Amino acid sequence: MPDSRLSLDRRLVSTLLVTVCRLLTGIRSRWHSEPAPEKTRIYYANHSSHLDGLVIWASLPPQMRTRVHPVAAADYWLGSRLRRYLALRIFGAVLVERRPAGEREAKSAEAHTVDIMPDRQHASAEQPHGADGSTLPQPENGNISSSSAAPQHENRDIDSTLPQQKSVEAEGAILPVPDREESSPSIGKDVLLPLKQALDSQHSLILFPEGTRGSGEQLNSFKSGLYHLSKAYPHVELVPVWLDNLNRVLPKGSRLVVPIICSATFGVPLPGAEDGEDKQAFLARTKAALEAIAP
Amino acid sequence: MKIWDSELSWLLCGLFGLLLVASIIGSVLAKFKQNDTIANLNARIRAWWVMCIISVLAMTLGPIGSTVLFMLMSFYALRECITLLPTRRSDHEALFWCFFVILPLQYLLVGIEWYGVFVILIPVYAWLFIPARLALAGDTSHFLERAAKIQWSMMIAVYCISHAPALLMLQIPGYEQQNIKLLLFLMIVVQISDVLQYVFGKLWGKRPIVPKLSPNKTVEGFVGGILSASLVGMGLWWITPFAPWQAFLISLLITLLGFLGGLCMSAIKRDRGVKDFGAMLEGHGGMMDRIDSLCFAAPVFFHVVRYFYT
Repeated sequence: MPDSRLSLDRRLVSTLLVTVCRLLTGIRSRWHSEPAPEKTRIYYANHSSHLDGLVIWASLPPQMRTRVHPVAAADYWLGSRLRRYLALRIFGAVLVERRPAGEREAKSAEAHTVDIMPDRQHASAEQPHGADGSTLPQPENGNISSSSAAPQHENRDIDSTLPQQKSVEAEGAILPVPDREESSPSIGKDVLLPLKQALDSQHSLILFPEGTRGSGEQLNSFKSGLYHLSKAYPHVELVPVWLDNLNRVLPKGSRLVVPIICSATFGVPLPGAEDGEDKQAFLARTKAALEAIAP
Repeated sequence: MKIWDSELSWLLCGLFGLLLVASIIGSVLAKFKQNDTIANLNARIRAWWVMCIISVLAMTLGPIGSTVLFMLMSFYALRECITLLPTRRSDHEALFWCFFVILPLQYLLVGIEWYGVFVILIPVYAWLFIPARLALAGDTSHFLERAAKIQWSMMIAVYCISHAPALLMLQIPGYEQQNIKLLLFLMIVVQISDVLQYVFGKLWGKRPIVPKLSPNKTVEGFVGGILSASLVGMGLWWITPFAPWQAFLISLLITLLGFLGGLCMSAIKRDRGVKDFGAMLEGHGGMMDRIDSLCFAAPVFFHVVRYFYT
């Protein structure tokens, strides 16, 4: 799809970001199989730095960038004008809510947590959960709770960002945006919906199934969001992406960037969730595939 | 200020003429035979074109252009060194200082020609600062090793390399405003020595000098390369303030140092289990693979010229 359709600011800013990112991280991408720009796929990667999404995105062939969308947390990426602009207009991020407001007081439902999001700040990983956990509807519906992700010192209210989100989406978003009037956060709402809409329109997604950034030394266990998504779209192939050295460029807990050379290794696509494959088996399989391509 | 003179024009004609000859030989070889060595040779020649054109363009911009050029070379070389090291999370802040404060400061000192601070910034101040910052980070594991590795990378990739553009600050009587040719002399002799050692080694190389370290560095390549590069250096006496015999001895000195530099960098690569420092220069590997000999040659050349000619 249409590079020609890209407006000037999007082309300029994305070129600038990709160039800076390349200069800074010397990012090189290696493909174990041919990139297939026209195919709808779910790319999933290890997560150790705020730059992860940008790096994967920058290492994709340019014609793929308009069709591959990083999945990111709405509360963080709608938090400021700049972030909103970058997320929606430049990266074409698919934003999901990880802490629907109505559920904040409800009791924890850790077992059903479907936390696919990158955390929004280091704090969240260090002091996870429980306090603002949420009741979740059946995991079969693929709902995301957001319990674990929200940092306690942040009192950002998703509700308050929603109207702005709407207007920004109207002017700049790349993907069709559902009418949110009726779908204000409430128990029972399918938080994976934006992801599904992207896949429905033949676009691809980048997600970080660990949920939060790790130290970069080992892969943490996967949250179940990837499973629920794959279950709903079993025909969509999953591509593991190993990001190397990003934790040394911008590690957790630092705002300083050190220009270490990074690499992104794209593995061979895996089939989506198979019939009768249970969650544990699926997550073990996808995690093993990602570990296998780590250098 | 006059940067361009007829000697410089001759030099550049010679340089690009040589590249042209190399390209022709490369493409003829590729016609007759196709193997990895020839493919690599042609990749190297193509990269040489790019490197020469960028370097010459930068140098024609004057001292600022040259200083920025070498600053970028240092930046890429340092990045390759640090990437190869097993640094820890607690090194992060010290590394940030190295890349974004100390490195630019060193080249700023080159640019403003402040010799007194230029020559001690890294061996004294950065050398003390790095372990101090690591200590403040509070991680004691492998403390000395971590500090030493960062200090070493800074010395090699930043301090040593910065002596090449620092040649521009020397005041040589009777050679005013012509120092850029001295810089080109250093670069050409060092790099041609690498090339000639490679060529002699490929054609006649049999006995490796340090087999454990690098099977490609052979006695034949070493002798042939060093001697012929020194003769090339002597042949370039007319662009320098040296007499021909002096040019020969100085070339011999810097090619020997270049050889030792290459040897040390090979030892590091061997120890870390990699073949190249990076992959930014097609056929050559990384920046550090290309300038490893310059690291050792530049500071000594600088001080020899400074001691005997200023």
